[in-house]
Amino acid sequence: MNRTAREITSNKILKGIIENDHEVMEYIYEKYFESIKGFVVRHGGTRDDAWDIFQDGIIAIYEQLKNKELVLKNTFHTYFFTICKYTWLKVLRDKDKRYYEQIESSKEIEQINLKDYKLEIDELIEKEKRIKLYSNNFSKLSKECQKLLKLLSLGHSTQEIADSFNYKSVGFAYKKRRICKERLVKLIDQDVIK
Amino acid sequence: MTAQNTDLTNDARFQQEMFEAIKDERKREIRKTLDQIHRKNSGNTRINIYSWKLQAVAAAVVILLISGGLIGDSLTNTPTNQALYTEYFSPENSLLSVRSQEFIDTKLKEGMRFYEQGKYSEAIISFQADPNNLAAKLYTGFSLMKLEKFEQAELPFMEIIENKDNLFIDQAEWNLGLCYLSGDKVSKAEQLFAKISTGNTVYNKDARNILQEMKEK
Repeated sequence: MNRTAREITSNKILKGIIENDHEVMEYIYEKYFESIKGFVVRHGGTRDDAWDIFQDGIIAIYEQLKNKELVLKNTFHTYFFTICKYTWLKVLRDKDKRYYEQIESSKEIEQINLKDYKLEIDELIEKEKRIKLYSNNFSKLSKECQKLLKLLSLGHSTQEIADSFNYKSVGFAYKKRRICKERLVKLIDQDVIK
Repeated sequence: MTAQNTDLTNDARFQQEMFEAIKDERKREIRKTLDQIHRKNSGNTRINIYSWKLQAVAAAVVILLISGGLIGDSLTNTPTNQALYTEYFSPENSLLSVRSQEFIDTKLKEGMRFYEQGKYSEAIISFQADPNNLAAKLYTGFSLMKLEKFEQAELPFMEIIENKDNLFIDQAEWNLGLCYLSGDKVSKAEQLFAKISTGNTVYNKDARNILQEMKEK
């Protein structure tokens, strides 16, 4: 695909995200990453921060598409920029409040069109925060617990789990299931306290 | 809504979101795709193995650990050295113990500030301005690891270990092992993890686990 020579419509971009279409992802990257990086770096961030924000923006949109919650009130361009810039401002506000207050009234910040999206973006960011917390801590569990919880999340019954692990009884599978969940909750709690 | 109902609702949401996080393979694939594109375009041929600063809001960017393959692949594949490294590299834990020391040194403080901002190259310059400070050495090593300069990171850790009488030996040994692992110096990594696993430090359990996982490869 000659990416610079053609524009992709907002709908095609959304379809590409949900399908993880490599060409569409590349198009989004080439078209938007530098601008987002420019914004983040101008406002106290690093290139790595910008990359994280960019990825989060795509994932946030994927998440909404998956749940059929996304109704674009503007173009993809506007929406994506709004999400990324807003996410960075939220990070900044938590990380460096004084700096955030300095830039809050700047023209560039004022121009971010939040009125149509503020609530849903807030919800999205918060939800992603929680999901990341679960995911990161999930990966700290033993392989056995990871496998068990994964089977559970995919809808397998406790009997199937017992069979899969060759546990001696379903009761034992229940017990393991409870232990694994409790471990995960404990790890998450510890992470939150940190 | 009663408090009990609120708890139940929260539990249900927790379970739903937790399962969502665990099973969303497509999200993992999207991150992989983006990562490939980013690496290609930034001229970075190394594997990007870091999740975003875990402590930032965006403690949110999901599942880099998952996208590193740890979850999806755990059912079918054996972990790579990189995956093991990613699983076990966690300087944030060290941060807590280091922070408990009284740091009055300006350069060290400056370096820590850069480090926390993710400006690892700048951090190294500040840390190296205080060559005799072992905390600065430790964080030089962490910064180099963050920059994926694993071979270079070995030296500051070795210097801490050779110094013998200091607070950072455990962390230096553990991270030196991870540097070996990430640089595919498997036998050196195994030797060091074996030593750590029989010792009396907070890393001995991790060392046993990582050795086990290395054996399963």
